[in-house]
Formats: sequence, C-alpha cells, structure tokens
Amino acid sequence: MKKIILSALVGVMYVGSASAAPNNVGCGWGSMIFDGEQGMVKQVMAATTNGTSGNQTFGITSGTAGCAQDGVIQKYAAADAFMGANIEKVARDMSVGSGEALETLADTIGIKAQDKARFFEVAKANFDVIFPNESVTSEAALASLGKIMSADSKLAQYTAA
Amino acid sequence: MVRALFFGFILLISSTLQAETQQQAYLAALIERTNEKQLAVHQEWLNMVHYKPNTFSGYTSQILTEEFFNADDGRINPQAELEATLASFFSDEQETDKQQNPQCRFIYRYHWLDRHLKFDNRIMPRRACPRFNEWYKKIDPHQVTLIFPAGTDNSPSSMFGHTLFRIDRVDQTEKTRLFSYSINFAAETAETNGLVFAVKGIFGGYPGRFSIMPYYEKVKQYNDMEHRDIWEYQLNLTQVEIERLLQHSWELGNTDFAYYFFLENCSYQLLALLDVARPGHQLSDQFSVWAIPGDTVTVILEDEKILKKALFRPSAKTKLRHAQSYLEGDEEEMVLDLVYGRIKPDSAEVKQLPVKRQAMVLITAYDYLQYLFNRGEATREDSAGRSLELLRARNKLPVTNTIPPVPAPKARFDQGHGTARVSLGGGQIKQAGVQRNFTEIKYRPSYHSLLDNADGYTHGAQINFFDFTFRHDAERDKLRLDEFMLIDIVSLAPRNNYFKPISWKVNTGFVRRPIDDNYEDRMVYAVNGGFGLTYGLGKDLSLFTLLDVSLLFHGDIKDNYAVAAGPDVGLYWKLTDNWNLWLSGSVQHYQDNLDYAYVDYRLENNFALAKDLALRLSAVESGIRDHTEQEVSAALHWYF
Repeated sequence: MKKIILSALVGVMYVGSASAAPNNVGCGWGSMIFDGEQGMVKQVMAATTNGTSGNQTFGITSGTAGCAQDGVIQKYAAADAFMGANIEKVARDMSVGSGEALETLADTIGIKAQDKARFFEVAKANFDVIFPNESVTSEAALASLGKIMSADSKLAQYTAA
Repeated sequence: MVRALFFGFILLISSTLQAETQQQAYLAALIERTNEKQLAVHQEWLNMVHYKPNTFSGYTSQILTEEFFNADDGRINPQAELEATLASFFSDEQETDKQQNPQCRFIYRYHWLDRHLKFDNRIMPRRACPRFNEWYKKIDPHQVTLIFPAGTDNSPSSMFGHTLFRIDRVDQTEKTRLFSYSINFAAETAETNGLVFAVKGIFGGYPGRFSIMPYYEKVKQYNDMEHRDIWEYQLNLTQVEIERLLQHSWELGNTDFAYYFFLENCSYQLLALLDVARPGHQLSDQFSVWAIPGDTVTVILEDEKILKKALFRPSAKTKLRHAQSYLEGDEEEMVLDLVYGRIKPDSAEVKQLPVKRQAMVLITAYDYLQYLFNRGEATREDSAGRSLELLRARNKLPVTNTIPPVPAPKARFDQGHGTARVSLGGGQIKQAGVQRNFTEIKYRPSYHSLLDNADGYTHGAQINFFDFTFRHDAERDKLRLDEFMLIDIVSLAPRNNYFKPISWKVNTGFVRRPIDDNYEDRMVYAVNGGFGLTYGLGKDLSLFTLLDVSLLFHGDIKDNYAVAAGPDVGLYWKLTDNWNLWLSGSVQHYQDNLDYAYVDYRLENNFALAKDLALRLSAVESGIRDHTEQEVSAALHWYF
C-alpha cells in the first residue's frame, strides 16, 4: 500500500495532476517555492473579525473537488498536498535536517518510525538536488526526492512499484 | 407466456403495495413511540436540529438551509420534522457524489433515533453509507483538540481569540499534528474589507458554515500570517462522543446557519456541536448576548476532567523574537545585512563565526525574510533567491537545530483572570484646599486592561467594553454616574531592530470635564485617539510617547464641540509577577471653542492578590491647568 503511494508520487502523480489541474483546489499542485500568499489585508480583517481566509475551505459534504473528497484529501495525494501547501517549511527543515514539517512529510509518505532518521539524513544531504533553484515547484521537488529515495537501500521500499 | 408475465407483474405490484402498507403501518407505530417518549422535545433532538426556544412559545432552528429539513415547516416544528425524518429513512435512494440516502445524509439523527426506537431492519432496511465511511476512515478520529488562536501584539481585538476543533488521527504524534483536519465555523464571504465585514456580520448579513480543512492551513493562517500564538487543548472525549461529533458535523455538511458576529459566531456554534456530542452539558445555553471565543474556552474547560493536555504553538513572530534573544553582539545586525542582501551567506563575516552561531544567524535570517514576505514587506523577486541561498548555506553546516524551542508562557489564557470585572473602592479628592471623600463602584463586562495581571493575555494590549463608574460623593451625598466608556483600546507594542510597530489607542464614552469658567464637572461625550512609539527596557518595562487628539461634545460648549491635541508620555512596568505599575502624564490643549489645557498625571499600581482578585492603588492629578484636583484612591477588583 505504502509503496503504491510513493510510486504514484514519482510518476503517476504527474498524470493525475495534469488531469486535475483545472480543479485542483486543496492539492497544492505546482505551487512554487517562496510563492506563498501575501496578506496584510487578510491579516487585519481576520484578526479582528475571525473571517475565513483559508484557500482550502471545503464544505463537509461537498463531493469530489480536485484531490479531495468531502473536504478530506485522498490518501494518494497527501504528500503532494502537504508539500504544496508547506514547501517553505519543508525546505527549511530539509536544510537543517529536522523539524515538524519534515516529520509530517515523512508521515504523509508513510515512512515508518525506524526509517525516519535515514529519511531526514538523506533529505538534508540532497538539499541542493531537491531544491535546485528558486523556481522549483513542489511536485518537481517531491519527484526529485522520490528518485533519491529509490536509490537508497533503506528508503527504496517506499518508492518501488 | 403473456399470462405468466401478467401474473408476475401483478405479484410484483401487490408485493410492493404490501411492503408499502407494511412500511406505513411501521412508520405510524414509530411515530406513536416517539410521542410516548416525547422525543420531539427531547433536548438532544432540539440540539441536533439546532432549535432554540422562541421568546414566547415554540422553537426555531438556527439553520437556514431548506434541505436540512425534511418537513415543509421543519424549521419551526420539531414534531413535524421528527415525523418527516422517520418517513425519509424508508427511502431506497442510492448514494452518488451529489446525493445521499437520508439515512446517510442525516446520519446522526438516524443513529440517535435508532438508539431510542430500535429500528426493524426488515421493514426499514439499513443503507450503507460509503461516502461517510470513507470520510470517517480517512480522518481516522481518535481525539478532539480545541484550538484557540490567541492574541497578537498591536491588535488588541485579536485577544478575543477564535476557536475551532482539530480531529486527531490515531497514529498522530505531537510532531506530526500538522496533517490532521480541523473543523471550523465561520461566516461565508469573500469580503476583504474588515469594516464592511464587521458591520454586516453584526447584523447577520452573512450565512455561517462549518468547513473542514487540513490543520496546516489553519496554522499558516493564524501562526504565520496573523502572528497569533495558538493554544491546543486536547480534550478528554470518549470514542462515542467523538463519533457523535463527526456524525453530526457530517450532517451539518454544507448547511447555512444564521451568523451573528456577537453571539451566533464561530465559538457559539462550536459549543453547540459539543452539546450534541456530549448530551447533558448545554454549554451553548450559557451565552445569550455575546459569545467571546476566549470566554467559551473557559466554559469548556470548567469541566475539570475534560482537559487532557495543553500545548503551546508559538507564532512565527514569537519564534523570531525568541531566536532574536539568542543573538549576541553583531549577530543581530548581521541577520539584517543578510535579509536585505547587504552581505552574502557565504561571506567572510558570517564564516568567521563558530559553526553553531552561523547556523543560528542563517536560519534566523531565513525566518525573518519569510516573516517580511508574509507581511507583504518583501517581494518574491527580492526574497526567493536570497531565501534559497540562506538555506543552502545553512544546509552545508554539520549541525542540526541550534535554537531551543520557545517555552510556553507561564499561564494559559484559561488560567488568566476572568474577563468581567467589578470593583469597589474609595478615596479622597482635594480641590482648592477642600477635601472630600468618595466611594466608588465600577463594572466592566469585558475584557482586559493594561494594569490587570497580564497572565494569559497579550502583553501591552488593552481592550475594554462598557466600563461603568458610579461614584458616591460624601459632600453631595448622592450616587451618580461618573464615567461610562463604550470602548477603550490601547496597544503599546515595543519596537526594536526587527519589529517596528506603531503604538496606538482609541477610546470613546461619557466622561466628566469642566467646560466653563466655574470649573464645574459636566458629563460630556468624548472621543480620544493617539499614535506613537513604545520602547522596551528589558521585557518588563515599556516607555511610551504618544500624540493624542480628542474631541468633546456638549450642548453648552460653543458650536457644541471642542478639539484638543497634546502629548501623552509614560511608562508601564511589570515590577513583579503580581505588581504592575503605570506612570503617565498628558496635556490636551483645547482650541477655539474651549480655551484651556487639560492635564492628567497619574501613578497607578495593581497588585494581583489571586487569579481573580486585585488591589488597585492610584494617585491622580487632573483638571484644567492651575485648577487641578488631586485624588488618591484604593479599590478591590474582582474578576469573573
């Protein structure tokens, strides 16, 4: 099961993301690093009035939308959605080699507790490959990560088809 | 052959008819049983359809969406709605992406009624609910956490907070809680103008709706964009209660609620959701005029057994401030040089630092750049390349985390003082050599003053509503309204190298001021505002200087109003955990319609005797310059 997830992540996800592109709310596909929303207006409004300002607002029984069903992200898309929405935090944690965003990414990929340390180590060691420039998209960064993992004896199990 | 078909057809019709008759008889029997058990007025039924009693008689549901009701008059008729709901459960409608069988659409109603009536599945077949089951499985609920984004500095109104629920997964740990789901209630609007939103929100101009979204989106919104620290209260709910909460959330689906900013807001509806999950508590009934999110947190936590554990999640700004406190010597300046591109991450200046210090400087520069970017104070062109360079340089260093985590504040919000305050006191006034004694009673329904003990609140922020002062003067021997402030907000946010907020204040209400030559106090309506700067000396002493402008209105003033301006300087000092001191002086020079300068010098002390009890000692000199009165007073403040 876990294997399918990352293999999807490396290869199949490209297909999936392309087909879902017009309606990809909540998937975070293709979000570029350091391209987050800027928000003075939102900040002021929300802090005083508690209005909504999330871009992933879903009704609970909203049916299928992008990679979400009834507001909950499909399992195969978990890593992609998380990476798409948190790429700046993941990049920060990968450069350091630890942190909450990296822990959570490992979780969405399905990495078992005993392999987490290795995952962090590999992510840190390959930071430059995963984030080659400031225009890298979250899906490209994840695909690179998948390739690196498939070449690692401990982590290949999460990517092999 | 034709005959066989014909008989087959007749048989089919008659068996369908028979089944229908059987179902109708069963429905009638069920309805009779609901009457016997009086289920239509059962508190749990009223809760799950969100009925509230009308002023005189009957009920009305707070839900606006017609599809939420099975009966035509379901919104105002709990009995008819109950009967129609039971009838709908016989439906054989198949589930699609857009449609659900009523047993699934109203899944909590179904389970609740089944529990009370024990449905006969032979007559009312039980329908599978694949969409709900799939949803429930993916959320994988194990624990419910109450999320409370608290205040941020320089936005006193944010102290009111916001509340939402997070549904925690079975295999989630404290390190992986970003990927869980939050259930949030909010007004549905694309309005970005805060004022328009506030006005329309107050008068019910928007529908409110529950939504579900990944928790990391909420963290981004509150921690990163709005710089609010978050308290996460893990609640002790049973698995049955959690299941009910999710079943009911599901049936609320996309329904619209009446939304009113003050009462029927996010926090109120969260309580209503909790009331459905935990019958017998009726927490939402404790609020009838307004429901301030912070107060609802306190109400939920009043049940001593409900809190499993509380975690503090500092905002991006709090983390940055914390990191800043670890920087030494030139490092603080070096971070700014890196952020603004004056030096490169691989420059000799950085490299000469020990590896650990380099790591600290580089990551702090990255965080600060992200902070500026989130505030819209740095463009992507400026920050993207620079951010990546910082991370690359940091990545080369053979050390992991170098900055310890932010410690949780000493007190959580729910451990701070109550938001309503009553005080009793007395003192002496001396004017033109004459001394008078007075006693005083004050009432303030909400929320927090600078002098109140700041445990659990935002330091340097004040927001008060409807602050009444009644004074009994021994000489006049009558009790009179001395002051009534409608609203009083102060934000003293200290500036430093990284953060440069503008301090401000605004207040308005009825106060006593002399408006003619005999210096007699008259009740006038005043509006006062100010802007300025605050600097911190250490973290407990703040010095401020503001420029104030005020307006007075009274029928006896020429043209009915007067305008004044002048300086307001002072200090605000937390001397010990329980002792806050305030010293200030201001002068307001009136123009045209009033011809005097009004001065106000004060020294005030607040001693917190207990969480909800404080002693206030004040000395004030105020009035028209050269005709001032001196006042000393002592008062006991009780918070609840």
